[in-house]
Amino acid sequence: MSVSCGAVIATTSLIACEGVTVAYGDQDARVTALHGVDLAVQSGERLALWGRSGSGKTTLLHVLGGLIVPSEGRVMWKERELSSLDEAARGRARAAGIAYIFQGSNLLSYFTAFENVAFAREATAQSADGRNGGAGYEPEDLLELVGLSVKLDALPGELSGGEAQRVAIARALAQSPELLLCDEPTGHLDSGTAERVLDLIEALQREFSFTLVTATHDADVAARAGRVVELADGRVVGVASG
Amino acid sequence: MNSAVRLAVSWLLRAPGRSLIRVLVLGASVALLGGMLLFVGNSLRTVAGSAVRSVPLDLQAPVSSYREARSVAGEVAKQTGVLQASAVATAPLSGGEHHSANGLTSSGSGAVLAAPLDYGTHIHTFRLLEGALRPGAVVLDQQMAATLQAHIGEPVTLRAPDGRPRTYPVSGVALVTAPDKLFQPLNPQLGPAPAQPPANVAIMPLDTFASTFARGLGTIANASTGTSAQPGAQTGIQWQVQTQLDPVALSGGSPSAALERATQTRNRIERTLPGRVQFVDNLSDSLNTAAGDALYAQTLYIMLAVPGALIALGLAYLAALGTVDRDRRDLALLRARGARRRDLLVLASFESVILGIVAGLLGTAAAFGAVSALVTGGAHASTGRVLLIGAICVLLASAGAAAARVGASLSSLRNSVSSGRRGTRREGKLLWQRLYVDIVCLAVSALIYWLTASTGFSAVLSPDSNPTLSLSVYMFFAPALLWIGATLLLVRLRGRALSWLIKRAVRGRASTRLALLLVSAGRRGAAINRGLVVVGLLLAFGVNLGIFSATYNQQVKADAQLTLGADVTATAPPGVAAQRDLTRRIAAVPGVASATGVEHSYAYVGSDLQDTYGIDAPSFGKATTLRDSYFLNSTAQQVLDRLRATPDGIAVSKETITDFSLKNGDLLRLRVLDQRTGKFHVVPFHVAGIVQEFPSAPKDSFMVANLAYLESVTHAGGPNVVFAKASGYPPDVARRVAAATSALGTKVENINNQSARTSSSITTVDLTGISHIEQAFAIVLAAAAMALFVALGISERRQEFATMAAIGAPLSRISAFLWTEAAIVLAVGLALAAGLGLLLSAMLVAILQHVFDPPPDTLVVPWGFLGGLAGAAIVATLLATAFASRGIRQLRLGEILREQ
Repeated sequence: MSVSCGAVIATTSLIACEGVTVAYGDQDARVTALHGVDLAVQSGERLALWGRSGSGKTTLLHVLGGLIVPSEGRVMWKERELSSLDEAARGRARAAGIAYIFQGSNLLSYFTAFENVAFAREATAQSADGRNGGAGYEPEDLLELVGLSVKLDALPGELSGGEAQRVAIARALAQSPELLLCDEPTGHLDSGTAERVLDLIEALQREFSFTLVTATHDADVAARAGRVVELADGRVVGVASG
Repeated sequence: MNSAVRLAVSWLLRAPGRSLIRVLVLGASVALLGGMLLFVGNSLRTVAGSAVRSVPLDLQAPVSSYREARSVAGEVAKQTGVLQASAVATAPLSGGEHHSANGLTSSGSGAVLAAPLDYGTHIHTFRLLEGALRPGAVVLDQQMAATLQAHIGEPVTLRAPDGRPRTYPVSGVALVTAPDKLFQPLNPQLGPAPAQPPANVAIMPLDTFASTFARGLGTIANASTGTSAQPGAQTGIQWQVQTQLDPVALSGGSPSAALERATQTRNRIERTLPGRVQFVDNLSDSLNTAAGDALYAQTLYIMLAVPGALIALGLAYLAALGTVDRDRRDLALLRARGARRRDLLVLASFESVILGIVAGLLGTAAAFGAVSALVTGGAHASTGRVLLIGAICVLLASAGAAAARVGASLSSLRNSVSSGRRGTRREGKLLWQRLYVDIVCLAVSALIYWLTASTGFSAVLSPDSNPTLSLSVYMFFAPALLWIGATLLLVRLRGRALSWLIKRAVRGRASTRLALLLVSAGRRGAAINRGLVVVGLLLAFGVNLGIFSATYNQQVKADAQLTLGADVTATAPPGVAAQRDLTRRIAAVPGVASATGVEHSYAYVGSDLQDTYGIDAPSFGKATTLRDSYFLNSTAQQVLDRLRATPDGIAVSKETITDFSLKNGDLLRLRVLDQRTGKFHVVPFHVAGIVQEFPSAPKDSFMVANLAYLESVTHAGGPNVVFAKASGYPPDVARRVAAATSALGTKVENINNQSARTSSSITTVDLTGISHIEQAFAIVLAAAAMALFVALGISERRQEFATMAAIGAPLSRISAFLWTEAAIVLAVGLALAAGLGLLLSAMLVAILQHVFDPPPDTLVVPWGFLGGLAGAAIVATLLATAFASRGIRQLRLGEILREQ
């Protein structure tokens, strides 16, 4: 069963994919992670990609972020075909408004919390569309926003899982994202910490008005989204309002 | 076990590129060692061959009579391993007389050598300058001929100790080249006792001697202990059998092996002729010294090569580190399936052995190829030796692979990836760090070097008049400890110095691009240091090698030039050079840059007869090389200038200055032989300098004066040797000079031939080939080290770089991290190499001060090679980092970011 989720490539979509198929390997050992997925995400929307492990959530998230080029189909980002761009151009597109929060925070281990944020701000500054990173916030301001003003000089190894994830959120904010892609953002956290991190992300979404797409296997996390797209075996099998 | 081998093979094949790098790095390391083993074998053969060839007279056995001498010589000649055995006699000579056009000239006492007509076939104790040894005639030594003013065909009268005169026609003029051996007292129990050479020597056929000169003279048996203690005190005829062993039978091994064979041959001959012959063994004496020098040479070669090979194993460690992440995953999987740590180690061992076999065989082949192509004499080795070298290479490669693999995998077994990457993790100090072994090594090294360089503490154990050297290998502790200390100190620092510097450079929190790059490099100090240790030490190895080899090669050339006199020399019969304008003829030969005539004569300083050289001061410096170290208290140019300004100026030895309390400008009266009258007469000279060494001059005292002045007081026939500086390859120039002047009876020598037979010491060995191998090795491995360091940087940080790319950081920003680290390693590595390499070279050269004669004035810096070395490191850095940057672009971001 395949379910279409919204008007494909609608002009109002911030990002959309149409007929996206992602396959790995050769003919004999071909693994198809996504099968002709259609998805449109509206600006300011809070969307959850929900499914079990191996359902294709992360792959779809990577396709939306331009980290993976689909084998078939296309991805439109702000009316530009992201999937047809080369890596450098996709990188510029990410710098111009697509931020990531990974399951394991993926902080740069040789940088302090402050430097992680500063690097994201500095590396994505003066991006393709001329927007400045950080929306005018300094790294210490962003870290204060996520409640880490006392951990500015801590290295990632000196932070707890929740703290590391909050640094990752601050780092994402440093990019002034229009689209924030979160891959199991609470996967490594205990339930209390996870709750606080999700609350923080949602609060920040309200403040900064970015679009939020979260990949999760956790039904409770998915339930916090405005729209839930269920994936199974690389196909969209259901769409529900949160 | 089969499954373990299969698994190990499959591990290696899953990452063929990395496995290939490990094989190549290990192969290069053992190739250097294999090449060195081959070279050492060749060198020992060269030293042994040179020692054998350098002995003009191997064995001398005193016998009781002429008849016995002929009989024993005949028996000895039949023995296996004997090249020539001749019945010979020596006898004292009271004096000689000659009636020339200027009247009667006479010479002082001397000695007679009586030898068969075919004596010179293989025994080279004298060299005929003109004429030949003929029955009933006599050949005069060059000095005696000059003193008597006797020429070929003219009669001379020789007086035996009994006072009876015997007159012989002169059939030739010769240069006696081994008088110390020929006229030494022979006592087999005491062994060789080189004698003071006689001033006058007459050579005549043995039959002529026996039927004329020997009549009425007494015969001496074995020299007594007292005789041996007073060289030259021969009172009667010494009949003897002189024997030359076959050098081919002695060669093919080390000096020790040659010594053993020579001793066996001598013992066999003595056993075959019991009671009839017992030898004084000159050859063993030389081979004994050569065996000591060979040990010294081996130590030197090991000192040059082993550090490079060990550092190259560090490179293998870097290569193994590149597979750590994959290994960690595989090992975790195997552990999850029940494998124990022991199983994993067995697996690593199999992998190391497989790598070792492939790399060892590859290294052996490379060693043979390189030595065959680049080392004079090629790679000659017996099958057994080939197998031995192959086995050693395989063992070393396996051990190196295992050490690198275990060293790299241990950390991955112990730690998680994230903690392994954390630069700030604290570790307990190792035992050597707690004991400060690095500092102790450096201090002891400095102490030995200070003793060597500053206080005159000498490596020479027996610096007597014997021209050979015996040296202490303990001197090599200085550079060895410097290597060890410097390496350990770098390991101890773990990049902390870099971190400290960066902290001070980046004040406050880093937020700019440059500051972020620097703080990242500062926190990766340990990783950068790892690269720096390998790259810096490899570059230091190259610098040390380059400077030492260049200095060594220059000194070998200087050594040969000092012995021969110039690049090319032409010795002419008396009078020929002046009459036929030999100097101008030689100067006109293509390839000759400049030529100058030199007169070699003798003069008395008090009662001491000294060699005297007459030179043309304006042209002398152009035709040969004069070093400042040849002179005391003045430069070479200052002494030449003073000679030019003072027609009767003369440079004399320090002994003469001391004995006669002289100083520059003082009057010095010498007794000079007037060739016209045949008598010595007093001639005034003025001291113009103190000379210690001079081209072609002997080791003991001698003098240097102006040619024109000397000729005006000796009335000699002009220069008897011409020195020429070659602008081309000296042997080719020598051939052309010989072709242009052979009709005049000249004997032409060149510096290259001289280098090969100067002595039996280590300077006989041509280091050029092995230096080229080691230099190529240093260049290639330094480049490989930089490339591996950069590749390892990507391998270790691929997830971080993927994260940066996911954030949207441009490629240039990401690759800037690689460029920064590579630039730091390159810059610090080059600086480290310059300092450490220079210091190591200075140490080695200081140790070798006494091997070279004269010692080097300064280190020779081979700018071309050093430029190539630095260039290779820079180009490798640029290429490796550029390729790595392209690699970042091709990272599979989605795949990498899933790895947690």
